This record gives sequence, C-alpha cells and structure tokens, in this order.
Amino acid sequence: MESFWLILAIKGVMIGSIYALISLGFNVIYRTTGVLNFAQGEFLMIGSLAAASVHGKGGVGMGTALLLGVGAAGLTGALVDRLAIRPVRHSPPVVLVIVTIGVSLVLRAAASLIWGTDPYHLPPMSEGHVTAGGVQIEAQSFWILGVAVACMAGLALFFQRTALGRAMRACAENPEAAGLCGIDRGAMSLLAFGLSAVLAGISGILLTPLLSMSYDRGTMLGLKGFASAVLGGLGHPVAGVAGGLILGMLEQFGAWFSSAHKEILALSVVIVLLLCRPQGIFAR
Amino acid sequence: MLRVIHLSAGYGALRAVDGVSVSARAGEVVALLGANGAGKSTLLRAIAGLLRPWDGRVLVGGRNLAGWPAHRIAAAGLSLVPEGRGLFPGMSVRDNLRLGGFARRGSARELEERIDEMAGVFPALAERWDIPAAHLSGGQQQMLALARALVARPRVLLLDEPSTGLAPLVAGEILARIRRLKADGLAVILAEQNTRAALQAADRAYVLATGRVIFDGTVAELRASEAIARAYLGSE
Repeated sequence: MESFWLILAIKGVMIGSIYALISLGFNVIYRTTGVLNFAQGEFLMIGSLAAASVHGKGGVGMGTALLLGVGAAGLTGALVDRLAIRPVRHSPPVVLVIVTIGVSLVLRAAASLIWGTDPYHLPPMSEGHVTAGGVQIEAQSFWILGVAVACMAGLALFFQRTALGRAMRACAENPEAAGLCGIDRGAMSLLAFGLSAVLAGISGILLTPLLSMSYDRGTMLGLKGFASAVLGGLGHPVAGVAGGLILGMLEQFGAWFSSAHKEILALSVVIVLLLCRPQGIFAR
Repeated sequence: MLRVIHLSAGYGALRAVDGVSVSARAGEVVALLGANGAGKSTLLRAIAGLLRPWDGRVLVGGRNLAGWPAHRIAAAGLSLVPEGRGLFPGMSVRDNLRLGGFARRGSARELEERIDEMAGVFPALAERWDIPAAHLSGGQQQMLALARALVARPRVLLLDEPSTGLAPLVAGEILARIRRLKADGLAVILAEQNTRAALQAADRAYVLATGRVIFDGTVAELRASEAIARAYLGSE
C-alpha cells in the first residue's frame, strides 16, 4: 500500500515538473512583454511532433531529432512574435491574449496539415528502470526531473546574472525606462518568445514517451501550464514551478479516484484555491 | 551638442509642443521653465524618442535623431531621466546601474569599473548596493536615476523635474550635482517647476507656455525681464 502512494507521488512529481516547465515558459513571456501566451501548448506540440516525425519516419538519430524538435519550437515562437505579436504590440492586453488564441488555432491547423491527425510516439531517452523502496521507477522519470531542474537552474542564472536576462526583466518592470536605458523591447520580446517556445519544445519532447502526441494535444497541456503559473502566482517563476508540482500531484491523486475525471478533479481544486487566493498561493 | 529645431509633438489631436527650438552646448546647463502643462515633459519625451515627434529635427552632434525609437537614441548618447525617475523598483541599486550601461559599447569589466566610479560620486548609493530601488528614499532614488543615466556616458542629459517631491536640502544637493556635470562636458537640459533652484544651476533658460517658447536668454536676462519674472519666478 505504501508503495502505491509512492508511485502516485513519483508520477505526480514527474508530470508536475513538466507542468512546471510549461509554466516557466508562460512566465518568461509574461514577465518580459506582459502578454499571456495561449499558444504555449502549441509550441510544445510542434516541438514534440517535429522530433517524433523525423525520428520515426525520417529515421534520423534520436539526438538530432531532439535538437530539430527544440529548434522547430523555438523558430515557431520567434515567428509568432514577429508575424503576430509585433504588428499589434501597442494594443491593450486583452487584444494580445486574443491574438495568441488565434495563433494557437492557426498552429493547430497547420500541424494537422503537416503531420496529420494520428498520434506520434518517441521512445524513452533510456530504457529500463530503477528499483527503490520497493517500487520500479522508469529511467525516463530521471530524465524528466533532471532536464526540468537543469532548465530551471539555467533560466534562474540567465535572468539573474546575464546582461540580456537583466534587460528582459527590466522590460517587465518598467518598459519605458528600459527603452531609455537603450534596451530594444522588440528584440527582448523576440527573445522571450523564442526562449519560451524552446522550453515548451523541451517539455513536449520529455512528455511524448509517456503520453504520445498529436496535433490537438498541446492545447490542454498549455492550459495546465497556465493553471500552474496562475496557481503559484502569475509573474513569479518559482511559484509557478511549485504550482506545476501541486497540479501534477493533484492530478495523480485524482486519477486514484477516477482516472477518467482526474483533470476535472485537479482543475476544480485549482479553481477553489484561486477563489480563496486569487493572487496565487505563493504571491504576497 | 543638442539642437532641437522646430519640434512639434502631442497626444491624439492635442498639440502639446508647437514648433519649439531649443539647444544646449557641451558644458552648459539650460533650464526649461514653465507652468504645469506648458509642454516641458512632452518636449523632453519627444526629444528622447518616448513620443514620436510630429515635425522638426533633433540634432545630437549634427545627426538628426527625430523619429528614432528611444533605445537607439539612448545608444546615440542622449539620456533622459524621466519624471517619476524611471527606476526598476524591484531590482537592486547595482542592477539598475548595470542596466544604465546596457547600450554602451565596451566590455563587462569596463561597465563594472564605471559603476564603481558612480559609487565614488554617490556614496549614499554605494552603501545600498544590493537593496531594491523601491526601498530607497526619494533623494536616493533621484541620485540613482541620475547615476544610471551617467553610467552610459551620455553627451546630452535631459532631466525632467529632478527636485519634485524632495526636501529642499536634498533638492539642493541634486542640483549641485547637476551643476558639477558641466565640468564633464555634458550638455544638460533641466526642466523644473522649482524655478528658483533651477536658475541657480543653469547658464541659460527657456520659458515655455502652451507649447511655445516665450522666453529665450541668459539667467540674468530672465531675472531682468520683469513680466516673465513675475509670471514664472513667483513674486515673493
């Protein structure tokens, strides 16, 4: 029985760290540009499908496929910034949110044309499992956790220690003053979308061995990343990571009651939590 | 160093600045006076590229920057310390200064040296290096805003109401600092409602009213011009 709970917890952390990565992508764009990007899940889907299709059908090696997938996601993010966001950059936030919803529809349609509607698979990064505390843990779990932690640490270093990272934070804190300091906000927006899409692509590739991916699966995952970010407190990347872990756990324990309704259970809890603390659990 | 020729700018249909020409030479502090709503801030914002000028030219070292975006104008050597100081409130004093040097060419080491130089000029800031800008006092925030603009080694410095909200003693200290910039060869335009204090720091002055220049001359001439003096310097 104990090992049963342990398995749920491990799965929760694993799925949760993927949600955490997606929420980081949300926060990177939100903090730099003030835009809530609802095409985040589509970046994830594109990264995953690009990698899976060149690996499965193209016969390209795993490493190259992963790089291509992450690259395709990043490129999509950059194009979205240039073609959809930049022309309406000075519009009110509501307009920008609606633009990103439109972008997500376009990307989904494009993906169904390119890759069709069948699901794609990726093999795990390494086969096998580790036995600990009486439970078997798949090797892929360690990949997910390791890559997620590495991305978070890398991002934290980037934002704290590099001139570019500081400049992106400056755009969020005071856009006008950022311009006066010589920071090109358009370039920072491009960088934010590219970086955020790369993060989404990485999460998609990590997730595909567990869930398989098709053109329409990104949307729900994007929403869960958004729910994680909001649950922690929008604009606070670390809180968003915690939000992702909480959501992942809730889902797994929800699946214990009814696997068909795990999402309803998890998102209902999120709604209740947000009714109590609209600013997020960890935001002051 | 700075020559603004026949500049017009505004918001929507409102022409807040109407054909204004002002200039500042290297090593000169020029006061920009006028009542609230006379167009001082609009003029400075249009020069710095925060607001796109409708018409006119902004020459810095002979190059016309009118219509350029703010970040390119900053990189071309013109810094504006805006009304409200324009700091990054959640970021440390040091990070604010580092961002001031963002557009500056040169190595990271040179930037850190320049920031350390600022610590010497503004000792009050050096004691608060790692404190978020939001936690500084009003005077310290103004010093930080000034220091951040100077990190970029601008040739032209525009200051919008630097003494607003400060105790007279602190405001005096800031203005003394600004006067000392002349020795570094900066061209400074100082917009102030606090006329008395501004004239102590300035060599020349412009007076704006409803978006036009209604006086242009030396500080002595301004003091001698009774009508202007009564209207803009206060009668007490």
